[in-house]
Amino acid sequence: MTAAWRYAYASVAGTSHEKNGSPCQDAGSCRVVETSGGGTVLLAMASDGAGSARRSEEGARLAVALFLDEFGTACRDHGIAAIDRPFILAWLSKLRRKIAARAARAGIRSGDFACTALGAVIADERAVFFQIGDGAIVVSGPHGRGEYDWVFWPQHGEFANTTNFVTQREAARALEIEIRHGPIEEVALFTDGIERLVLDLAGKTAHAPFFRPLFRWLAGTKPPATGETSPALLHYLGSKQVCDRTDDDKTLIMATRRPAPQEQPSAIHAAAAKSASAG
Amino acid sequence: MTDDHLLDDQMPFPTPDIVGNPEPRCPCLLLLDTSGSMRGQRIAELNAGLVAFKDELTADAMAAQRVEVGIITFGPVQVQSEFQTPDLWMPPTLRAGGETPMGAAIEQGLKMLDARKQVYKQTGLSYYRPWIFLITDGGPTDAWQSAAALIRAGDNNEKKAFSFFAVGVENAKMDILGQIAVREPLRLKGMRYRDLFSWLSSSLGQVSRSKPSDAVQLNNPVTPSGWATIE
Repeated sequence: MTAAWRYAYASVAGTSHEKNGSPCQDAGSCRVVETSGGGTVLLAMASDGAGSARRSEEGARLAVALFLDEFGTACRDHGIAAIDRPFILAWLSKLRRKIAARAARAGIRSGDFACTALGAVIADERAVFFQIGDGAIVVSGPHGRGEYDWVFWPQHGEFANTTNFVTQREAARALEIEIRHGPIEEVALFTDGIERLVLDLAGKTAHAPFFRPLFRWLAGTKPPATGETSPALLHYLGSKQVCDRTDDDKTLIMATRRPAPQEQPSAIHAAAAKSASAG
Repeated sequence: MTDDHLLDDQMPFPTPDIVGNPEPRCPCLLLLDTSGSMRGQRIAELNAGLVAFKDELTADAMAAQRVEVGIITFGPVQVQSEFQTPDLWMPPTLRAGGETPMGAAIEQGLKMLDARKQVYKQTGLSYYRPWIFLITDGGPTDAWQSAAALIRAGDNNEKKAFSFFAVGVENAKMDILGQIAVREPLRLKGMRYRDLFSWLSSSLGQVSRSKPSDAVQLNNPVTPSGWATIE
């Protein structure tokens, strides 16, 4: 049994960026669109602007905005059936043209907008994922036992500090696409900043004790208003637990359509609702 | 104000468990000339430089967890330290004597580096592009051409297997170093081993902090206050 999608996302600047005054170069967003056929499709994208590229935060925001725009329109009109490999390649070409045009106007290179892209498009019985660069997408296992699998392993090449970007030559070659059939109930997308905190690199697995409690928490929240960052995730990603382990920008997007946990702490819920209405 | 006021979601936010992944490694191989001409003050300054190198690496929180130092000396070729993080690595006290088999030392060093990379891959450790640092006060007394070919094959923009730097001290044969290294060899000013290792430590610290696509901006050692000159 599935419920309506609830999701949360946030991007937080790394402590190293705060020190040298550079902006958060990550971007991410998530939304649910209603299709003309009466279904719903979840759209989520995270993008990590390259540290050394001077306008990469713009590249990342552009990637996310164009994703929501193009994929949103296609899904509304034709449902998830419209999202296939040619569609994703066309989106990538358009994004690269937009970046090239912006770079030309500013007299700089496309590479100055270098960013990664992690996308998820999930309908009732079908899901499409794609990725260029590092970070990863994690989904719940098929049996609802609190197990999690990654869709693509982060693209790092031989060295820890190398990856792929949408602006590089022949970026389409680095583009990984996967179409999964059957329902996906939980999905998380995250950028490189928290990769080493949530993936077991030696075992090459998603670290379930990270994802399990967060998804459980998320299942107990209300569906959010479209376009809103989650204050709870924002707070968590800026917390000591996270910042002690990474000084990089980090984005986390999570969505679930599992029913709320049974033993929902109604007292806390009521107190929170009360304090919200009082404020 | 408690944290709870910051959260307006309905459920209390849990503290999830995060993975204790090992840190990525940044291997640095030192190929050190300990031939007879190094006797006296030179070997003493080199040894003092190594001690300072350990101190500076361990003082840098990131470098201390990520840099791995390995040492091969030549005169004759000998592995002095297998790759180790600075906390475990004990700077050896080197003694001078013998010939300068630089070619053999380079070839053995590259094998040692390859073996280390295999260990990283098998254990799922990620790593940065390794650095090889050769320091000599002379010139090779053995055949060095095949070592030079291996360096050209590894230190280039396509392969990027490692970065190789050559440093000449006093009467070093800079012309041969120039044929061995792809990058322009540097000449150490006087006996400034300590400054060299201080620079190496801070440069490795920077590399070990770098993120995808970061252009690591190293301090130029070839400045009036730096430790090196270029011929």
